[in-house]
Amino acid sequence: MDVPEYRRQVEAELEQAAQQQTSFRELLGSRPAARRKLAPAAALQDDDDLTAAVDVLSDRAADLELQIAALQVINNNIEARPELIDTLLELLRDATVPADLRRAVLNVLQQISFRMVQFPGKRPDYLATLRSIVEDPDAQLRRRVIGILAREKDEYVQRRLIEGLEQRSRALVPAAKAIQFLGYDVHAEYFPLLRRIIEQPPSSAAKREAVRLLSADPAAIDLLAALLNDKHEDPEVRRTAAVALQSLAPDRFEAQARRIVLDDDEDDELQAVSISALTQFANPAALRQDDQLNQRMEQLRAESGSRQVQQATAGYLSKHGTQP
Amino acid sequence: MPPDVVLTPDTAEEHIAALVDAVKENPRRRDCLVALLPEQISLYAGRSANATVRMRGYIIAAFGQVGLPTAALPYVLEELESGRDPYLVAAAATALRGLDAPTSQVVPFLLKAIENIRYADDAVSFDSYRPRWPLPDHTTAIEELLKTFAWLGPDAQSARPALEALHDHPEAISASARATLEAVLAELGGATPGCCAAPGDLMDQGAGAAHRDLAVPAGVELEDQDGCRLSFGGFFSGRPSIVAFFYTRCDNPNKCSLTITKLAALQRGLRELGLHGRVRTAAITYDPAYDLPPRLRAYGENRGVVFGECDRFLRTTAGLGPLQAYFDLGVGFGQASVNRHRIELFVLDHQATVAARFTRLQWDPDEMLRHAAALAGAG
Repeated sequence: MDVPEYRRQVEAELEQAAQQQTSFRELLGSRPAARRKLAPAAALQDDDDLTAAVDVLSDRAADLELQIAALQVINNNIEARPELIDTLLELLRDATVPADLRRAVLNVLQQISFRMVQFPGKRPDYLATLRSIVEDPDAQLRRRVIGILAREKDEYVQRRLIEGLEQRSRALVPAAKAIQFLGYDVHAEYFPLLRRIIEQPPSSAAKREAVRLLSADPAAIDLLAALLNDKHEDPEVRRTAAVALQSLAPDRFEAQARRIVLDDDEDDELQAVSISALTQFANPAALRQDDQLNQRMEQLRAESGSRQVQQATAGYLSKHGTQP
Repeated sequence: MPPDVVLTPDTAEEHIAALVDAVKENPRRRDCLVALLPEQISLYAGRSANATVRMRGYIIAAFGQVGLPTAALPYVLEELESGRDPYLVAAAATALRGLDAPTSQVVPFLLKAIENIRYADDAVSFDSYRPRWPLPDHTTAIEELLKTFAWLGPDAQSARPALEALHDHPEAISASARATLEAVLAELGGATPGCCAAPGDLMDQGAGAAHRDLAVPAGVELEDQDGCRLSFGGFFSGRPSIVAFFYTRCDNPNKCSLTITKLAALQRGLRELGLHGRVRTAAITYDPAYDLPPRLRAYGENRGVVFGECDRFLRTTAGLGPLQAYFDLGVGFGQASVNRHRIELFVLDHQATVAARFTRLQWDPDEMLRHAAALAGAG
């Protein structure tokens, strides 16, 4: 690479981009049709621009597109004016502000939260604000807020999610989503609740999520083995149970996987998952001595109608097979 | 709820909160709160880590109001030194203000707590138990730590350079915390920072002796990081050992991860002293059902542990209960994993008897080397 030439190209591109930038006040003065085109390139030219952006963001009558452009200008310059985080938090809290704008504000706050060195001082207020809107009427905003708090292993949001799973009338998000969010914290001790959900699932998605999370609960080994064994069970649930069982009890899983591979009536995808797991994780010496299993692999490679099974057996035989 | 309520795994959290509130009304009963602090008591069994944090935080914060008994001090200092949960750190900072009098000995713990929590601070409240947000008012861990510095007054003098450094980065703390910080610095003035007393003077954090005369537990079966089966007595007899407890799913980097990293440093030190093979090192997991041999090996190797005949990570395959009783482990269990534990490291003699224990506060690998050398007859 010609480094000086590359540097000249980059400088030219930067200069061109700078020329294309529009000051926020120019954007304000443009007609609506032009504004749409110019908004993504809106940039701060001076302090007055930032003041104008703040005014637009706070103006209830302002056009949403313009407000989002103003938000971008503030986002790009927040390091110089960290106190504007308080303005953003107020907007996020305010249920009378259009949901589209509040979601955009949340996006910006999330970016700032991991980008900005000044953010730690604002973090407590940010988290308090998020907790205050977990019941927001806007489902999208609510779900995003709960997701952020769940990733923080937040005590309050875990409490509210569990409440919602125990009493559906108090649910903040769909059951499957709530289970997924609780799963961010292995110490949340939702496992008894998960077992109840598996027995009486509110939805098939919720059941799958519950089975997936049981991979962290050693007490669930028997339940997972039973789900994996049950040919009447949803194949996706069985595959999820297989992965969970492999994590918790590799020996037991290997025995089950072997049985599945040898069974003519088994689900193709489950066979493929089982073969792949045996290929990667089982004891190679034991596999080499397992004539019945190796013959079965040869047979599946030659006869299986499933491409997934054929691919999995090819992988197995190339690693553990006796033939070249 | 009267303070003498029977506490079990089924006791509602609200009853604990009512008990704490009752003690606040009658501080002479504060010792009953101390009895709620050991991690292994049945009250915490089966609960989530967050439920445990909620209860412990509410209890510990109450000491700020009812006075902090000496017996509760190790729990408070532990939280400041190693805690990463803002609710518990705020509670511990609040509790220190219940000491009979300010003392400079707590300064290193408060500074460590600021270091631990400054990028993970949160809004918390002790005004009520399990509050529903939004709250009319909240505090933060950093704010409570700084309020405790303010309470220390001149006894916080040794913290002045660190607090000034914090002041130089105003973005690191909230506006209200900054106001408290400025008040603390104004109070401390420009005098030369004094030196604080060694934290060891505050409480006995050194080697504790064997606490009870328990026989080495029979029936404790172990499996190491390679799947080899051993008995407790068989492995730990014949030469001295250093034994740490941990579990791979611990999410506090100041606890298990640091313990194992320090254990690896200790191993290196033993080699340098020519004691390799004369002193065993071992780490035993609290979570044997999940910590299968491959997980044990990976966790140790990732932290610099070198495995060998005398250096192993272990899980119980039978006898976790007797093992807990033998070491009097400070660990509580939820439904599927550990919900809370203290830092625990033990020195065992040739008969596998506990010769010294280092619990709750951070242990020093160099000090541990001296113990090991003495036991191996090389010191």
